[in-house]
Amino acid sequence: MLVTLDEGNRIVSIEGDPENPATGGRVCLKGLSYARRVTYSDRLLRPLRRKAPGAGFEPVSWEAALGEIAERLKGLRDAHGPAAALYYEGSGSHGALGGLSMAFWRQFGGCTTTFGDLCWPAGLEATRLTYGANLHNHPKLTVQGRLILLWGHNPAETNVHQWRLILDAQAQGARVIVIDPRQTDSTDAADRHLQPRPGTDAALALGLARVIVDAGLHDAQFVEAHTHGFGEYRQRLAEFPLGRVASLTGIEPEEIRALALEYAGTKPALLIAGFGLQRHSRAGQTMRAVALLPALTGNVGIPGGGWQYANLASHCLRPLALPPEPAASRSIPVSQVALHLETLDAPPIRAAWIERGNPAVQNPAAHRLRGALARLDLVVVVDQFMTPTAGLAHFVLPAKTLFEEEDLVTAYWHPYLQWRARILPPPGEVRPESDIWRALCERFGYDTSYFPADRESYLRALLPDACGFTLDDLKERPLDLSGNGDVAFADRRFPTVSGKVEFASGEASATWGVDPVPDCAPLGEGAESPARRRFPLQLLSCKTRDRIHSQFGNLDWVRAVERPHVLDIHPDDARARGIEEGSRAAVWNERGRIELPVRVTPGIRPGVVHVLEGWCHEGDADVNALTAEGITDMNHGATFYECLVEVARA
Amino acid sequence: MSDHAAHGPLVAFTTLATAGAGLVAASACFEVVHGLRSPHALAAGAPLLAAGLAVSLRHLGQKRRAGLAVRGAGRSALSNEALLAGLALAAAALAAGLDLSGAHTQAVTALAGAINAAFLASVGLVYHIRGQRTWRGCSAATPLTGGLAFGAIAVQSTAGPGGVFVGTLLLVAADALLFSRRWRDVAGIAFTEATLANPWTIRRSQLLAARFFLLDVIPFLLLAASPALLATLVAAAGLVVDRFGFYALALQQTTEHEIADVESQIAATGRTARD
Amino acid sequence: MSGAGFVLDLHRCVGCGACVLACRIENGRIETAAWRRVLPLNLRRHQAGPTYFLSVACHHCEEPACLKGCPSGAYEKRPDGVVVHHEERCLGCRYCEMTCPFATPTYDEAKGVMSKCHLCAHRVDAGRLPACVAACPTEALQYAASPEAQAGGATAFVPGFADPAGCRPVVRFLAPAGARRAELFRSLEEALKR
Repeated sequence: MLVTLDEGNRIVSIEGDPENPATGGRVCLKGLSYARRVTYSDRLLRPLRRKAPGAGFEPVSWEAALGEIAERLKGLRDAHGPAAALYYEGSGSHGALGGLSMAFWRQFGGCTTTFGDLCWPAGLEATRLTYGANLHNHPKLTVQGRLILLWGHNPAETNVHQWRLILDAQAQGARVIVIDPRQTDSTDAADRHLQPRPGTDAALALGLARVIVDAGLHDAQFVEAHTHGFGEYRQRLAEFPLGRVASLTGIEPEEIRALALEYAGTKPALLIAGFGLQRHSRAGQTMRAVALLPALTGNVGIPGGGWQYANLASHCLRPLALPPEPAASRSIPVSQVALHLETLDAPPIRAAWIERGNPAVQNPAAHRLRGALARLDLVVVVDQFMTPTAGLAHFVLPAKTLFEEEDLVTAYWHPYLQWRARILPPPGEVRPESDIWRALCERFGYDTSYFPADRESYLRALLPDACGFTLDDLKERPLDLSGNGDVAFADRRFPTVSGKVEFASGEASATWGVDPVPDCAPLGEGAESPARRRFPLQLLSCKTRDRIHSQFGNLDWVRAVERPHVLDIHPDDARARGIEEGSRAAVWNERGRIELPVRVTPGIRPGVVHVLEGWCHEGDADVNALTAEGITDMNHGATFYECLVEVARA
Repeated sequence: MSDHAAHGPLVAFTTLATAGAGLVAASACFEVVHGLRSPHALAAGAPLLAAGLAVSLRHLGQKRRAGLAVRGAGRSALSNEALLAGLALAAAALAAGLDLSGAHTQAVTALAGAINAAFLASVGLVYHIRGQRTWRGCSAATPLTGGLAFGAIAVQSTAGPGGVFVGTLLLVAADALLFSRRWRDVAGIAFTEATLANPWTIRRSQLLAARFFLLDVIPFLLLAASPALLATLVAAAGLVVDRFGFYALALQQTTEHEIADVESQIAATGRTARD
Repeated sequence: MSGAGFVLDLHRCVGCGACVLACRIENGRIETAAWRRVLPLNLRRHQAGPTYFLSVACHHCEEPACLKGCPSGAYEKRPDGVVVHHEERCLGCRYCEMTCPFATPTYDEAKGVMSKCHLCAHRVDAGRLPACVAACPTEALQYAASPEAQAGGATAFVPGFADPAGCRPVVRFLAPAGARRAELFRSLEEALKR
């Protein structure tokens, strides 16, 4: 972004960086709303300490806050060992310097951290197992697609810059097809839309493949030369005739057939999968099944084609120099924080330091997590606003915004690394997290050489070796330092075990205990589960363009334009329960119960209900009271969309 | 229209001004047609007009620039109204002044009456706005007919013995007829999420009926039975309800309303398609 | 030929609100009402109709009701078509707010005057695009020196757009596309004509 300040350091304009090839010089509403966020009246400007249990907060000096925190951390370490402290960081405020927290914790003797990820890990692993590397075509090549298939992806809401590219392709004659159980802004603009039951996408993918192979429309030459395990894959396909797939997915057989023929018959065809596709316990195998379709049809290694998921080419920085990892360190899955807070032993977790995240609202089983946090001896939260997580803390430390610290920033859908300038001083008594960690290290008498003495040279040293660019180049414009070409796998070299695209993966089986060939196993709380007798509705909790999870929603500017926070329910399901438009409904399962206003919409599949994730308004229902702490079959992801509920009039 | 609370001064202004101008116009009318002079009604006109104008200043965000209001005369209905308001006040004051000092002339009174009637007409034209769903058609004339009706009722009820003049009854009936058309127009607007966002829409029948009965029907019956001040008081209440209801029921067209109407249309299409 | 104005591509507009915020930042509307609004049509996704968004600010009409009705002559229509409001002549009487068929002018309580979109005339005069247009991430909102002449296939009226009440607004719209939506849009236009 290009930000202009006046003499009073007030933001007078925020514009897109015209030098960023991916965003085309535009900014979304969230980026623009930083003009309000940075100086918003609710912004925390001073350290806060809780006055007494159950009472409110009082401002304290950094000296006092860090002094007491240090004392209490030492006490906990003496009593239980360093792993009694949980260090939890979210992805709320990105930058390479975020890793500096470990400069403290490792010298502290270690701590409990989290592994896995709430967002995308199953899909990443599926990509790696299938293609060997997470490589993408350059976003600019999107325009060359003749068919763009969006699967579990809603870029009109969640990636508006990519949506512009898709619209450009469509304007030039490309067909846009979306697979999503809901009607969304993306499906409105599509040329075809399929609405499967949530969690049945593996069956759909295998069913499409079956139609394609039966019709002889797969790219036999590519499959022969560049893939491994096609024979076993074909055997799997025999289990997915059209009739079975139609009955599993709830989509008419003719629609499935038509999509298969169209996808296989159009080249180049681009398949973009969203993270929503992998938020259940069979995520990895599902993503493998879907990811194989471009390979099946020879859409790999061509401009305008390919498999797209999360382009992490910009994540190419060298690791930070940190102290060695102590033996006492341990790690818990991020999708099961509540469970581990409640049950972990030797030592139990007695303290939590939370920064750049809002787990009390955003994590699965959020209410249990909230309860567990409330029982800890010490909770420190670093945030810009008094979020529900901060509301549980003993100490709240005021966090910086992106304009207040120089750093390097990566992306997740394009290959550009960006240098982020410091253009504003932190207001009030705000300190960047890296300074907080340095101050804590000083207090403990630790080695502070890990922290940047000179910011410039520190960041310069993080740039990958031999990338051919300097920090000064990066200050001029975003840069692709990955060294990848514009077309992924143009050379047909796949760094898998077999050196080819793997339809059957021994590594998948050995590492994760899954079937070597993608399969479609039923979910614990899915469309076919016995649990549906009690909780017949599948709950999805998708993203809105108005927020990044629980960020931005507190701003008046955003509230004036935001979508309503409602329960979306199909008219048939509403009628069966005597629920009317605009009334309030209760949504519950064994894990929790929420209430919120209803919107009756034919746009959602019968049997499916939806509430936006990203709670942010006082009194709003938090959908994560209902979600479970499941883990994906691969790579330790979360299972937000594997959630059965019942709904009734409130 | 966003802000009902902001209309308070306008309701007060138009009530007072309509009442005052109506009294002057009606007095002049009675004098010219029936030779009956109404010194009280005539005298009351100017102060009411003045009070109304004073209150109207409260509506302005920039009161000190009030003088600029006449710059658009000829182009802007509001400028015309402002200009005529000033002239009406001056003429009413002059006529009343002459009357009170014993130098009454019918010509001056008639002129004052005409100017005040013109002012009443200009008030209606200010609010004859196509983009306002409840301010179209007949609504433009209701300040004129309502003001004249009120004035006639007031003059009639203080006229002393001599029967009820047919003219009075005709003016009241004319207002009733015109207003009943307004009633029909307003009641014909569908209830949608957007129209119901105005909390007065759901109570429109009560407001319209109250105005109709208070300003027309009840005074009509009272005058026909036996003229008395009560009729004036009831009519005054009716005028207040008329002006209050006028603003309360305002429904600006806007894109939001149009979208609500289209969404109703879509829902209706859906129902028909299913049948 | 009409003057300058906006063209909105209903296919590309996703109702994100970036235009609203960009206008706020550019014109210092930090705590006051925004000059632009984004309005969804059929967000409930009733199957008998299309779903799309209308981003509207001022339409810089050829016969603006605000200008005609303003008692103090605070409005002016520039030769390029932009309708500008001169704050120093404004009485704060709010008549323009009533007469505009779109309720475009907004009242600033603190300052006691009206204000509205001026097509970022200061930017346009310097050869730049209005802030809302520059910010639109999907390039749905466009600026044209004459939308009537420049926007091929654009229409003056789409379902959801208020009756212009004779003001002849200059804004133009491109119909929403997508196989199913285009069909529904056409049916809706037909149904409304009847």
